[in-house]
Parts: sequence; structure tokens; C-alpha cells
Amino acid sequence: MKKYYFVLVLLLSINAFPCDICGGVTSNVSIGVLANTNYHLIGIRNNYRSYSSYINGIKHATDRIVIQELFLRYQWNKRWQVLVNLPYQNAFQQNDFGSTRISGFADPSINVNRTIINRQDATGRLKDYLLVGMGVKFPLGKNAPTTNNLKNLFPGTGSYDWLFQANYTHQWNKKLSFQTESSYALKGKDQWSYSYGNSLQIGAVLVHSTSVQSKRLITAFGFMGEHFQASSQAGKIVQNATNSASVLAAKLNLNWFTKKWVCSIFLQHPLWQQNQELFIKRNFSGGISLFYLLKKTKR
Amino acid sequence: MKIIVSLFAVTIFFAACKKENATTATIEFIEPLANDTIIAGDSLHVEGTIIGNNEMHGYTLKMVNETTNEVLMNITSDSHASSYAFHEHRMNNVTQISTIAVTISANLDDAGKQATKTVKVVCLP
Repeated sequence: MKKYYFVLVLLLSINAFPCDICGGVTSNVSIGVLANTNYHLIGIRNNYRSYSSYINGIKHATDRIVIQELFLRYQWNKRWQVLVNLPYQNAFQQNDFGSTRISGFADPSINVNRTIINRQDATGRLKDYLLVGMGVKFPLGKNAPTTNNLKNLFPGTGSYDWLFQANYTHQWNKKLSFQTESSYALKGKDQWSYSYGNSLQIGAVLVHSTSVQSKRLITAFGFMGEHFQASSQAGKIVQNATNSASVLAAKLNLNWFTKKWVCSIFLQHPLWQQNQELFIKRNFSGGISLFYLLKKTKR
Repeated sequence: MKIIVSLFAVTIFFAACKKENATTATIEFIEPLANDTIIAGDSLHVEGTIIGNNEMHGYTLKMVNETTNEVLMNITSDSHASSYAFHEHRMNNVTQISTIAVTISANLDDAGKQATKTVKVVCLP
């Protein structure tokens, strides 16, 4: 069960779901750092988030983004793993005049992670674990030109983005551990020379594990900080862009772990946020995921 | 008798909950400004607020090409509120120099009383 516990501790980070603050474009900065070396993984992630737009303090519109992702992790060996995700997005905008829906496949990404530290105590329990990785997001999702006023709600960015992430976990004892994760997305230009701003995400959670019958419930609570730089057009910052923003959010994560399955729920609520124009606010977000664990053959 | 008193009380309760109609409303355009010039391919960006002194009964945003008399946009909201924020775009694709009138009409009550404001811009082909 110790192994399962540590898998889940590291699984917690997959629910970090960054995005450009003003719309539905997924930046895929944190694509999920699953550091366990004993399992391949396949699953579905469902994420929801919403935003409210304001003009002079009066609410103008609400955007709701729902994303389903097929997630795969292939554990090459004890040090290397490959992560792939294939997302599909539904975005809804509701304003005084009605609602608009934009849906389609979003940009898939592939990441390669490497274990840097894998320290165990005398009993064989993992104590410290550091995983770093990088990846690329491909511009294969549905996107729109800059002239489209709902460009932010399209599922694809139209650009190649480079993704970097690191995840460190320290386990104090059988029940309690600490995890911190940081990630950065370096975003490219689309075919119209438009580029979403680079984004940085840093989070930390305290993790508690408890055994329930032969299953395990792992609860994590912590904070997540995100910063999004402004978008640019042909290298120049887009004036009046609302993408530039910082958000600090509280995060709660529940994970139910059986021998073959992991079910995860996460809830995230902004505590503080600052937007370039004080124009758009992020609301509550959440998600539910289901993963199947495949025991890997020894390599 | 008790039933009548109860019904009366309920009626009074709901009547008390009903909001008063607005009698005036202030319409402010953030964009466009009067006599703005919109070049071909650019977007005519309409953004602003309507603030009533009480509950309003929706509003209409209308764009009319006064040069050709073509109605470019005519959209209505039926939502009741004491304030609204509007934000719409329309691509400038005129074929001749045109004056576009952008009109916001707020419905102050159900009887047809309105507050209206119009801003005119020039669109270039």
C-alpha cells in the first residue's frame, strides 16, 4: 500500500489545470506529473472552470469551459516516462443577448519526465522524490483568427507551446507528506502572429493518507499561484488584452485509490486575483478523473 | 375568514417584493466614440453600460447603416435588472463610405417607456 500512497501523492498534481485567465484556451502548462515508476496509466479527466466578465463593475458575460481529456502515461523505465493527453473542449458564453457554444478538439501535448531524486528510508519507503520534465503542445486543435472576438473560447491556440515542469514530494511519515509543483509554458505564435502570454504556475499541498477497508483515501489541501503574461501580436503586447493576470487559489483534492483504479476529485477557488483591466474574474473550478493502472513489466 | 386573511397577507407579501420600474437610465458608451472612423476589416466595437434608477425591463442594441438604410444588428435582451453592461462587435465590411448609427434603447417599463442614446461613426470601405 505504501507504493499506492506515493503514486497518489504524485498524482495529485495532475489536477492543476492552468489556462489563460480570460478564456478557454488551455495552456497545458501542468500536464500532470505522475512520478510512480510501477504503473502505466490510462484515464479520462473532466475539468470545469468558469469566468465572469465585467464592464465598470457590471457583469456582462459568463464563460464556462468543460474539457474532457484522454490521458495516457507510459512508464519507459524507472527514470523515464512519457505522458500524452488528447483533450476535447466545450466552451459556453452566456450574455444578455443569449449564449454561444464553441466545441472541438483542443491541442494535444506530449511530455517526457525524468526522475532526478528517488530517496528511500531503511524500510524502503520513499522519502524524497523529484521529477522534472518538458514537453510540447501541438497546434492541432480548432482555433480562430485574431479577428474572431471569441478567439479565447476556441479550444486550440494555433501555436506550438513548450512546457516545463518540476514536482517535488517529501514524505514525513506514512500519513503525511508535502508536495510542491511548478510549471512554465513558453507559448509560440499562431499563423496570424498572435501569441498568448507565457504562464507560470506554482503550487504546494499538504497530503494526508488514510486507509479505508482495503482502499485508500488521500486528501490534499493547499494553494496554487498562477501568473499569465499578456498576449502579443507580432511581438507587441496587445493593448486592452485581459490575459495578463495573477491568481492565488485554494485547492482541495480527494483521491480514492483501489488496486486497479484511481478516482480523483478536485475543487479550486480563487482567493485573490489581479487582472490587467480588472475586467475578468475566474470563478470556482473543479474536476473529476478516473484512471486505470496497468502494472508495468520490469525493464 | 382565516383563508381570506392568509391570501391577503400572501398577496401583500409578493406585492412588497415586486421591484419598482425605473423612471430614468443613464447610457454610457465606452466605445465607440462619436465620429470615430473604422477602417475596412476592423471591428466596430460597441461597449458600455446602462444604469437605471430602478429595475429596467431589458434593452436593445441596434446598428444601422444610415447610408444604405441596412440594419446591421438588432439584438434584444429581456432580462430585468437595474444595470446592464453591453459588449458587441461587428466587422466593418461596407462597400462605400457609410455612417453607422449605434443605438442603445433601455426599456424602463413594460408600457414602452425608453431611454435611448445613439452614437454615430464612419466606416470606410
